[in-house]
Amino acid sequence: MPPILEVNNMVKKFAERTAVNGVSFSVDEGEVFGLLGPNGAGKTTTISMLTGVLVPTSGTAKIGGYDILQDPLKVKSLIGLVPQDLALYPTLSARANLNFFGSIYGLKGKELKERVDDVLRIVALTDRANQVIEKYSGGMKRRVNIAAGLVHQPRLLFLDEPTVGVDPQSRNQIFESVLQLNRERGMSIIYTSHYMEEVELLCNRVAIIDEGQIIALDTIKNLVGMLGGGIIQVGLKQVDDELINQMSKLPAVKSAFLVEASPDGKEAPAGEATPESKMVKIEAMNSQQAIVNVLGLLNERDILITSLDILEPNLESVFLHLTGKKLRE
Amino acid sequence: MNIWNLTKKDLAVIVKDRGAVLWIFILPVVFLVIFAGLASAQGGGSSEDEAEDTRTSLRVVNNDPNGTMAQRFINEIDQSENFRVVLSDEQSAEQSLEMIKIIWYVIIPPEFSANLSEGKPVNIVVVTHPDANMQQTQTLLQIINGIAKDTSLELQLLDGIRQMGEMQAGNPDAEQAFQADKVMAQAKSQFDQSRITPLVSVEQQVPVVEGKTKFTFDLGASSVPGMAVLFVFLSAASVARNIYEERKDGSLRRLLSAPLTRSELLLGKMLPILLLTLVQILVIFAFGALILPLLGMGTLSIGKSPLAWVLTSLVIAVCSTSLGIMISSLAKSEGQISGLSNALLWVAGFLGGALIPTFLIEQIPTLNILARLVPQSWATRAYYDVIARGAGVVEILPSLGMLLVFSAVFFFIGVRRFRFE
Repeated sequence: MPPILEVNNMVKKFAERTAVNGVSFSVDEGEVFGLLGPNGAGKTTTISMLTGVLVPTSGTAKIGGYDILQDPLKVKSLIGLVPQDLALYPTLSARANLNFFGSIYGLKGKELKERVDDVLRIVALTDRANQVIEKYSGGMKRRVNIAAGLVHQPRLLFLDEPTVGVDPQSRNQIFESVLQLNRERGMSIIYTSHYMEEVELLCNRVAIIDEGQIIALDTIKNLVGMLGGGIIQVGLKQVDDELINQMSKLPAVKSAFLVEASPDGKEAPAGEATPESKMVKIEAMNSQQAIVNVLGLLNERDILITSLDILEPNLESVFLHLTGKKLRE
Repeated sequence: MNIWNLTKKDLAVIVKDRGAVLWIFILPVVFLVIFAGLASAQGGGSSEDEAEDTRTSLRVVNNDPNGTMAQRFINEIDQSENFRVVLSDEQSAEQSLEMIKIIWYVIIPPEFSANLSEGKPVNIVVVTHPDANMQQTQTLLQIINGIAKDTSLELQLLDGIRQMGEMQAGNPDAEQAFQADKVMAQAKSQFDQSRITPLVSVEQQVPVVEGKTKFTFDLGASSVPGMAVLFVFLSAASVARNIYEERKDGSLRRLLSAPLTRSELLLGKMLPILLLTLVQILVIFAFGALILPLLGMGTLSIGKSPLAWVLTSLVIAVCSTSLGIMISSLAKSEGQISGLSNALLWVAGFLGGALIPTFLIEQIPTLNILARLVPQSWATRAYYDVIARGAGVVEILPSLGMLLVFSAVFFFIGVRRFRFE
């Protein structure tokens, strides 16, 4: 089966700033695909180009076999967008909002009513459908926001940070809705977030995006596997090549290397590196065993430890490992 | 179809926006009552406290204060259904006319009564402001002319009988002098003469007033077009705010991802605005036509050409809509729309003659130039030409043309700079 989405080297520049710099990926039919990255990484710009809101500076993409630049209206009839903002009309009821968004996709009459009732059920708002949405809680508004992107039954749904500012109950409701749409209706979904827990829970594959570029793309299992048994970061008063070499050869240690710190220390992962402190990053095959061995070596050489961090193998650690930054910095 | 869906949605949103409804429908009506009340209090001229007398006051300069015929003439005017006489001196009346406190006055010449007694023709002068309402002026002239003709006929008939009396006295032997056919012939002769060369003639004088415009200073109802123009253009700010909020909320972004062309989307934003401003005009004029008379604030007409009124309203709505799109495109913050744009629209409305007559503004050269740079002045001019001067489509084409030029400029800038995000 051909992919529902194929993105080919898309670039978007705003004046001097390059927001998206040569992004390429594909999404299979029926897949939940995650775009993970910190705020400002280029996730929303990428989605904006794919949904016809922004025109790419270069590159293109195909959705359902149609080029987004050559057949924009055909593409738009296949997709649904749930933007990061609450793109609704607050003085209208949820039903009035959904009726409107359905009508612009050509739905009318009985079909429109059925679809609206259906999406209200999906987001569990049937009993509040006729209430003006400005009186809803933040989570309920988010759910209507999602329903508005679903009412025309798109083949590919773009969910752009759909849980920002949402209470835990509504967040769980949103997760359930996403999984239901995917499993029961086979809807393909692109889910952007800077919450790794959400991506880990919902997505089959994840593209990690930073500074407009995809720096890793794989299944969550493979991405986490990059870290092996975890990452250990040790801040030390003094480091030399011999110490690094000795650490690399310790049992349960895959590799060790000195991390260069910028003057403001931002390049240093986790621990705060200073001129008086050097940061060593250790990729472990087994973090528990490796930490014992590393501490033993440092004790033996009488080297003072200034900080110690153990990164569990998850997407957050992968991002930290790849970029030297935290997802929510 | 999509344009209509967008239109329906926007109308539903605006109708539920209490602020917008206040600005678009409630405030114009409130302002209208205030301004119409003020205008009708000023309308005829003096403000003598004759609460029960709803007739229009008319200044009369009596230069023959002791003449019985002059007094009788004045009484005749005062007994008419339309006018109530207020005596005045000539200098005061002239100044009041210049200051637009009154729009006409009547001068009874010196020796009016003596000349009439001697059978010498006299001339009543009706001085009218160049911008006086044509219909009302005609009413005044008809009444004065009617009284003058009656007076002429009466005096000339009496004079004929007097002449026959004198003939009889001069020739007592002429037995045939008072025969019925001779009396009839004499009366007919005098009647004809009174028509051809009436003893009392009426002359209308229109002094040259600097800054003359086609504006009419009418009763309270004359505030209606001014208020309509002011608030239709003020609605542009409400419209801009509506679009700005939709952009800020991301709704426009979501719509861009729907199978709509940008043209459909833009037209779908403009059509509801256009319809709303047309409804706004209708509401204001309907209020003026139906409610103001009940409040005793004058009677509103839409002129002799309903087509001209419709065209004017349509072009003004198009211009306001284009202005709203332009403001929404250029404004970078809500403050710019609510504060700056509103302030500028009020100033433009003032310059455009929505609050005070344009000819007063045009007497100040700088303001006169500025007034021509705002669409409101052309809109006000077009409405007043249609309503007060009875102008047809052809006569208002220059004003409509200017409004369309403004619309094109606003539209071009608005569409070119329109941001969906």
